[in-house]
This record gives sequence, structure tokens and C-alpha cells, in this order.
Amino acid sequence: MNVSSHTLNWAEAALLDLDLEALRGLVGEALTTSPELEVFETLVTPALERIGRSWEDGDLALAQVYMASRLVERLVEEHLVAGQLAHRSQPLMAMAVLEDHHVLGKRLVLASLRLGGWAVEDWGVASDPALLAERAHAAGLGILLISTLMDRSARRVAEVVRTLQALGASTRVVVGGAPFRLNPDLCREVGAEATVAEASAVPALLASLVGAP
Amino acid sequence: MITLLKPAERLGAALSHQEGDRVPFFLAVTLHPARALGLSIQDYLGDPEAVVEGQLRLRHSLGHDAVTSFLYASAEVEAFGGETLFRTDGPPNTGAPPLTQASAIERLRVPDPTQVPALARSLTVARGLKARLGDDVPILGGLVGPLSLPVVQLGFERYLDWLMDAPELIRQLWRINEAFCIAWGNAQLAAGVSAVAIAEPLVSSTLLPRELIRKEGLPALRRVREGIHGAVALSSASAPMGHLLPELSELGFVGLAPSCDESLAEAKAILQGRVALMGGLNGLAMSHWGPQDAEAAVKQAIQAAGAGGGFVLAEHHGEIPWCVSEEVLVAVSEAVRRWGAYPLDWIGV
Repeated sequence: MNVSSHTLNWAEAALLDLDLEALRGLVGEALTTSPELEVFETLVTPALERIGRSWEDGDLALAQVYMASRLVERLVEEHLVAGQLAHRSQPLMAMAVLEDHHVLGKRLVLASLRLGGWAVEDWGVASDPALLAERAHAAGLGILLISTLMDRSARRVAEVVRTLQALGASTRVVVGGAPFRLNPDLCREVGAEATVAEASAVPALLASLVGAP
Repeated sequence: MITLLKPAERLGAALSHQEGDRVPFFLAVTLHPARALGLSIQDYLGDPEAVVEGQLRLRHSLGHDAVTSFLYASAEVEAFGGETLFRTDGPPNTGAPPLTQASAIERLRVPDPTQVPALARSLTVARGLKARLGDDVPILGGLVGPLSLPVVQLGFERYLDWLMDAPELIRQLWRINEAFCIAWGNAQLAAGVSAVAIAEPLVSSTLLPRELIRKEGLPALRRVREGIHGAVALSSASAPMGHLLPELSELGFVGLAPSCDESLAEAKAILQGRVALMGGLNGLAMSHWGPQDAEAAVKQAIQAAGAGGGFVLAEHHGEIPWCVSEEVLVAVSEAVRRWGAYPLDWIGV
């Protein structure tokens, strides 16, 4: 599906204006010619990605990214309820926040992934890195996404990775959050496989990890 | 003969936009004294006498130009019914947000900071430091700003949800927080702190929309600054101040501490002669540093912002991470002495 930059501008504006009706209208129009997942991938996801990039460039606030994501969540929910949004063929995935009760980042990532048709279990807040690794191993996770807020929690991802290795698990660990954004070496230091700076970039990262188109 | 100034005189010169004997510096070592005293972080932060002793010990080993009575940010959430989770190898964190229902905000009254045990301990520390140091070494107090407190009072997610769905509730909470911040700042000044630093990351337009900050955040910060009867500095706790820096510089703060990801030289040019610039060092990066890295970072910051006074070298987030070695902190201290002595003749040579 080819989306003109004009249409993409409209979608972005609708997200920033929190105009769900306008967004519904754009998606509805696109659905007359293209399947649903394609519409989300080529229209809504790129609009949300633009907003994420504008945040990274310092032109928008995290609050605006969050509010736009929440609007998209509502739209995705409508389509999930209607049973129209298909899921991808993918490894089993879950996401948890390590050692913190502030879960904004996790919600942004989960919204972005649902939008892209990825199914990811929400494991809430994990307080023990070893137990998180054991749970991931027992569940047979292909990918474990870990969100952190504090530097100390981010460094404890190393314990998750070590435990997974000791268990002989093949689970791949993807990390995110401020400590990793502010300290680009930290992802490698804790032994995680990958990180990205903002939530809307996670679907593309997962696609590259699992070799999906 | 070079006359060495006392730390208070050195900081006073910087805040007056004059060159003292050298660039003043302050490393916010809120946790490291526990290691020096052989105490757990929780035991250390729970014992005002230990904190006084620890601050004095680190002041002696680092030779920096201030001490702090600030304990940990979560103490302020305790005033609103929250809990603090202590770790053995990092700063205390807040537990689950205490205000989860709209009705809790509608019933909320401004807490008396002197009646909150953790905050009362901080006041005891301030009094203890004042008794030991007199007026020679400034004591920095601290508080979390009115816009940022809701992140830990409500949780960031609920904060933004309500900002979107129930903005009047958030405005009510901001007003309560303003009054609390003023009371808490004045209580610290009464206990002997020389200045209060407000940590307000949500004044960054990377977190809240710029227009919202302009319309409601900046006036709130001005009211808090005016309500606190003493010197007040503002830190965005490593979040960029960006395009709002000129407007923040008009609010009457004695110093501003933007993110060290921003250009120090540009910030200095904006604040020149009006408001002191604080910062220049990245605590997270320090965990990778060796002594040479520390020296290079200090030299770079002083080169960018040291000339003419009006600059205090400091860590930009407001707390040196636990994993940073004291060897690195000592290297920072030595580098300031080597490269920070006024006049900065080596710049441009």
C-alpha cells in the first residue's frame, strides 16, 4: 500500500491533536483498498514513528508520544475486538519492567508492538532478575523485552542474561529505558542483544532480530 | 602569593559572576559516604549523625566546595503516603505510587514536612552540618519540584492519563505540591542550609509539551522560587532545558543546571552575568571513566564555561551513581585544582 506524505501528515496531525475520529476516517479509507495489518504498518505505524523521532530530536514531549500512543491503542483495541487485526508468525515474546513501579515505557512499547501485529505478553513488574530469567526459560520465550528506569536496575539485566545462559536458554534479551539511552555502552555491558532509543522503533528492531519482513 | 578562598567565598564569587581563586565544584555524593563508613545504604541514610560524618569525610577526601543535607528523593513521596524501597547497591527508589484515585487528590492536604520522619532526618543533618561547618562551607538542600512530584505520587502513566482526561485534578495536585515545596524549602533553610536546589526534570520539553510548561509550569516554578526565602537553584536532573533556558533564566534562580548533553558554552552565553551555570559532568558516564577520562571531562567543561566566573562544575543529574569509584571522584577533584585555577590562562594557548 502506498501512502502519500500528505496522508501521513494528516495521520500524524490527528495523533498529535488526539483526534480519534480523524484517525478512524483515514484508516477506514485505507481499508477500502488494503488489508488491515498493511494499513496499520504503512499508515499508523509510520505516523507514530515520526512522532517518536520528533521526540528523539527534542521537538516533541514524551507526554505527546504517550498520548498519541494511547490514541493508537484505542484504535488497535477496536480492531482487535472486531477480530480483524491478524498476528504475525513470531517467536514467543514477553515484556517486563525490572525493579520499578513506573511502567510508562512498557506501555508505550506494548502499544507500538500491538499496532505492528506483534503478540507480546505483559509480565508486569519483575523484582528478581534470576526469577525473571527462570520464568522466561520455563515459558520458552524467544525474546524477552526488559524496560528499566534506574541505572541500578539496568545493570541488573546482566543477572538476567547470566541466568539465562546458565539455564542454557536461547531467549534473546532486548532492553530499553533511560539508562540505556543515556549510556550507549550499557546494552553491551549487560550482555543484552539490542536496544533502541524509543518505543516506536521496537517493532522494526524485532523484525530485524527474527528476520521478518 | 595566591590567596585561597574558603568554599563559601569561592561559590559566592562564582554566583556573583566573578573569578575567585578557582572554579568551584560540587559532587553530589549522597550514597558514597555509606561505603566510606562501612554502613549499608539504608543504615547510613537512616542515621543523621552518620550522614553528617559521611558528608564531612567525603568533603575532606574530595575537597569539593559544598556538602549536602539531601538524603533521597523518595523521602518526599513518604510525605504523601508513599514508601521507599532501599537497595544494597544503589539509591533508594519509590515503591508503588500512593495516589491512585481521584478522590485521594480531592482529599489531599499539604503535608507538614517537619512531621515526616525521613524529611525530619534531613533537617537534623542540616543542623548537624551547620554546627560543624558554620558559614565556611555551603550546605545544599534539595527538593523535587511541583511538576515532577506527580511522577512518583501517581506514577508517570497515570500522571499523563489524568493530564489528558482530568487536567483539573492535575492542576489541583500541582497547587498542593507548590505549597509543599515552599514549606519544605523554607524548613531546610531554617535548619541551616545555604541554598535549596530544586530537581525538576518535567520542566524539560522532552517530557511535557513546551506550551504547557510555558503556560503553567514556569509560573508555578516562579511562585515556588518566590515563596522560598533564600537562594534557590534549579536542576532539570539531566533532562534538556533546551529552548526554555532563556525563559527559565528569568525566574530568579541563582543557578541553573541543564543537561550536560546540551552545549555548556551556549548555555553560559545565554546565562552570562545573570544566572550561574551549574553542571558539566555526566554521572552515568563516570562509571566508565579512569582518571584520565575524568581529567579530560573536567578540562573540557572548564574550557567551555569557566571563564569569567558564573560556573559551578557539578554532576548534572544530582546524584553520583553508587558504581562510580572514589578514585574517579578524586581524579575529578585533582583535575579541578590543576585546570580550574583562575585566571584560566591555558585556554586558547
